[in-house]
Amino acid sequence: MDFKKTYQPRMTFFSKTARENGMGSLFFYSNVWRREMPRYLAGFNFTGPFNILLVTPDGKMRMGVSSVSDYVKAKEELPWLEEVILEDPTLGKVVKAWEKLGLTGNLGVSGMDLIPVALLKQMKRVFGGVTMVSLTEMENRIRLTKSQEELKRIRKAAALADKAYQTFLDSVADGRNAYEIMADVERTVKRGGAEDNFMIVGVGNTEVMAMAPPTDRVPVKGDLIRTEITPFVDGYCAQICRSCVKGKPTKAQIKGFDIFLRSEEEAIKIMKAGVPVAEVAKAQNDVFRAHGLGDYVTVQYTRTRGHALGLWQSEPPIINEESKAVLKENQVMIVHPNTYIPDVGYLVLGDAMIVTKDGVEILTQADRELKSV
Amino acid sequence: MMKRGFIHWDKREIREEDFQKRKEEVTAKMKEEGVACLLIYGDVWQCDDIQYLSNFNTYTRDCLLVLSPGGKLSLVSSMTPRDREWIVGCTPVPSQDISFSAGLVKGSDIMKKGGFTSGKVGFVGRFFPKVLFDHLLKEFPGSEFVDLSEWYRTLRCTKDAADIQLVKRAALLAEHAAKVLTDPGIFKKKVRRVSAQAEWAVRSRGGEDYSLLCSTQKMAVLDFPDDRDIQGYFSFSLLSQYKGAWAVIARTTVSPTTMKRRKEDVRAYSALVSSIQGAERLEDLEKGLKAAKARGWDVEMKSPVGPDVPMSITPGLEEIPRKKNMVFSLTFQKKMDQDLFIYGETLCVGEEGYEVLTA
Repeated sequence: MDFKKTYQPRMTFFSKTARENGMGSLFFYSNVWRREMPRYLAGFNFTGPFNILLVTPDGKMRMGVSSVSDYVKAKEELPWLEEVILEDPTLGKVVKAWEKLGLTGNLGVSGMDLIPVALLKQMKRVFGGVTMVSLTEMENRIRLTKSQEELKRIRKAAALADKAYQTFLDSVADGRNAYEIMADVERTVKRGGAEDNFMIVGVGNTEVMAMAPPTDRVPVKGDLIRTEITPFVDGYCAQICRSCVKGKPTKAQIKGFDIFLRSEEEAIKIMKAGVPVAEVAKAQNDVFRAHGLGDYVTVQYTRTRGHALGLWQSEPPIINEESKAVLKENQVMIVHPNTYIPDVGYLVLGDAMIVTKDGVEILTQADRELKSV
Repeated sequence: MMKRGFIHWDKREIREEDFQKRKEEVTAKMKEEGVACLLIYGDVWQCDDIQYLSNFNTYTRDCLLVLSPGGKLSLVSSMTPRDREWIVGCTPVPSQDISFSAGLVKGSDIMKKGGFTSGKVGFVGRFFPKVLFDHLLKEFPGSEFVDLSEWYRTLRCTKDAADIQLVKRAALLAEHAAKVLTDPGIFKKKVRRVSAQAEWAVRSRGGEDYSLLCSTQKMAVLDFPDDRDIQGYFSFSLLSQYKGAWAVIARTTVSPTTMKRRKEDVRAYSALVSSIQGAERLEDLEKGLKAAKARGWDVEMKSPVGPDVPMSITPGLEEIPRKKNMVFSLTFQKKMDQDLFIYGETLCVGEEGYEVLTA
């Protein structure tokens, strides 16, 4: 993706939307954990602890970097930047350098909740004439629908998620502990081209109420082993949720899984551009209610029935019955009716999909069945 | 960088008494400062301050620890109640004192329940969210909020025995990964594949995180592993994590061809490694650093490194730490034409000198 075709139009669109929302300049703060915006606006994958972007109303972009490598990379890869400044550990240089710009009016700030207190204080002092306004809502809205190039990357990530799930099954079958299962999966996704991965697991039976990081527990006969695997390829992720059983599944596990499968299928049936997200949640939850499991679709047992995906693994909107959002074409979602049910424990099943005009394109292709391994 | 996190509390590694002792030190400071309540904030990226007192290190979203002067700890997580089960298993905070709320706003309810209405409140966390802070100001008008982050950080710079054991384990994992990354067979292989194998060496042994920045011919900078072939030389800076504790290791390895071309540079690198790994006393280390700087190496020292963050914004140290049980990282970097040589270790100040944990 090059500057003229991709990043310049994005920057222009951001600036235009910001102006329409009463903002002047835009300030993007990203840390190691939330690195989406430099990727989205400049195609830049920073290595240091943080990255700052400033887009001024004249359409010019400046960058503050936090490592020498980033400085060299930014200078080489992004010659169109107006300025690159290497921050020092006291967090004093970047903001001070931009004092000369005389920013006024509303400054749109992205990542307000990530900014270190020291930097926030300094911004208030140096940019005295501005009012800081959160950019989060606008940013989410703009990033919601994906371009063809973004979808291409997400499709790659989905293919890798399928491959990773096969490694997961093989590893469980080999009798490996949860640390090793995760290590095997991580190796598959990294070798396959993923730059990162978000993965949690749950090994056991009815005592498992949620997925979490791994332990040294080796799955034993009768255990349900659940996982959520989320590889990131070129910045973009796809997610898959699956459960399998060590040995032969019990009747309760088979029956329980069937409810999850039907729940996901009911959601997929109604999904298309224009459908309210709340209806997608309701379609899933109604299947549980019909089986007398209505209590188990509440926040006591589950967080959400799915969510959007993209540069971050859990983008808004989240799928719940209170959502006011409406599905849009080319928005990427994961539908996962993951929750706890009695006699089975926590169970997961979910697939990443692209919302289309007439339905969805399901990206993850792994069999939707309760595998016995 | 996604965090994988950990949930297993091995009481042979860190005992309940260790947390009690830490808590006593913190509450003593609270009394000294006249602080009626201490709030410690942590998120995915920097949760070590919370882990220090509670063993809890969130793998997603954020959390808040509320400490009363009497030593009562309450944990608020922005996860959901279904996570209670595993959280209870990895923290000394009793189940009834663990609660869940979006935005962590329940923190103020806990303070009220503890009898707090107004007074001096201490807070810890360089990333304490503005929204939560504003909420607290509204709930407790007239209260004085004191930033105790720096004091807390200084306290944690000196490690107790439990912390040092965790750092040593992280260091051992880093060494396992380094073996893969410095193997003579890496040349002509893809960086991505070699790194994936090194990562496996960390994770399969219980390490929860691995972060690698590396460089090979024609790069001249440190970057993430990608599809380049390793040619000429391979240098890397690796952080491995075990139960929240990080160790740093950095190495450079050269191919036989480069070895011939860069004899002098390789000799200088080896001399540097020997001077640091062999430095037992402060004077040796000072000498090693001085010599390295004179030969054009950029030097960076950072502390604390465990439990801490992978890529911290903690400013570098000006002087070599001297206080017993301080753990710090020491990294050297030098550009030799277009090749970037790196070397680094994690060290601990011992009774009479220094211990290189990653040697």
